[in-house]
Amino acid sequence: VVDVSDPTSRWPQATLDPLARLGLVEAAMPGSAATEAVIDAPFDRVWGYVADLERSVPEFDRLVRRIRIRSRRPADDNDDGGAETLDMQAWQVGVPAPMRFDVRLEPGLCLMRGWGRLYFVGMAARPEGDDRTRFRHVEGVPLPGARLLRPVFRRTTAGDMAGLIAALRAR
Amino acid sequence: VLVQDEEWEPLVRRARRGEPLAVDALIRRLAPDVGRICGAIALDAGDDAMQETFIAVLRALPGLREPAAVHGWVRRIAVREAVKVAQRARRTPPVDTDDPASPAPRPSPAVDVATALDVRAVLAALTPEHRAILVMRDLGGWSEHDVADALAIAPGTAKSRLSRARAEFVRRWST
Repeated sequence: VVDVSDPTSRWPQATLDPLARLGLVEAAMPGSAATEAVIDAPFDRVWGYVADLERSVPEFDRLVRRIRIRSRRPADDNDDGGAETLDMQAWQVGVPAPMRFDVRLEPGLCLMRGWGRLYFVGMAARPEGDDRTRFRHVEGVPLPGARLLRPVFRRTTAGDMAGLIAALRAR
Repeated sequence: VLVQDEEWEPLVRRARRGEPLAVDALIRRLAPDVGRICGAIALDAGDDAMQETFIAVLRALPGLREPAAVHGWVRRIAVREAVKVAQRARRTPPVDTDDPASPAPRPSPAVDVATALDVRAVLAALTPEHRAILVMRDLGGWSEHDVADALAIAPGTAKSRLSRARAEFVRRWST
């Protein structure tokens, strides 16, 4: 007798990769823009570098002087994604006071909410074959009318992507 | 069982405002269920069906009248999208990219079952419509009424379709 009601792993399970998840977050935020690229380095190397936000962000984002992680809460059992939650400060060039960010960091995905809830930064990566990595970088403002800011975010994300590729190449 | 869960409400309200972390949290919370529905109905195209489901969900979210009923609402969308994607995938059989000269040899369902006796192979031998009804009733435990509602068919049709799908499933399994 076949037990067709057995809800175990024997039934095929579809999943969303980090780029797909970030793409959905973007879809809900009209005031956002993204840059995507395939980077000529394996996923572990790319993500290993990016996830060290205190070091990587000031290197690849020329508008950020310094990043400080104030606290770091490890993934708990209730969290399905195995994500860390970070309380982060970012000092931007020419701005004396830091901007506070709530960060959700998991393998291949980093979601950051800053400036109250008015500014969003997202990064997602997945392996593209063995030696390359598909990387997507998004910035946005989750407010009605923020559509007008899209050209700005298109420029800043493209600049960050170029910085990231250069930083990885220099290492 | 479609239970109205009050805890969904604040999350849905925040996601509706386009708060990115709330949108992601909503997706993560719904993902296991949506993934199960899309995987079982759309099989190899399950990931695509899952993405299509969430695109449809996010598009329609502002119009959702009862945020607390989001779970059942999303499951209905998942079934609909997964059937749609599976039907599309059937119409365009995959081509063997390693050898563009010859079309991919598709093993017959009977061979699939004989060589790999698992649920996936058995499901692959059924139509998307039969997979959908099995997933809803036997995996998800939906009521007959909810199944009929999700598929936009009469309850009597849902009932007879389910018995045909179950019979087909068992027959394929025992082949």
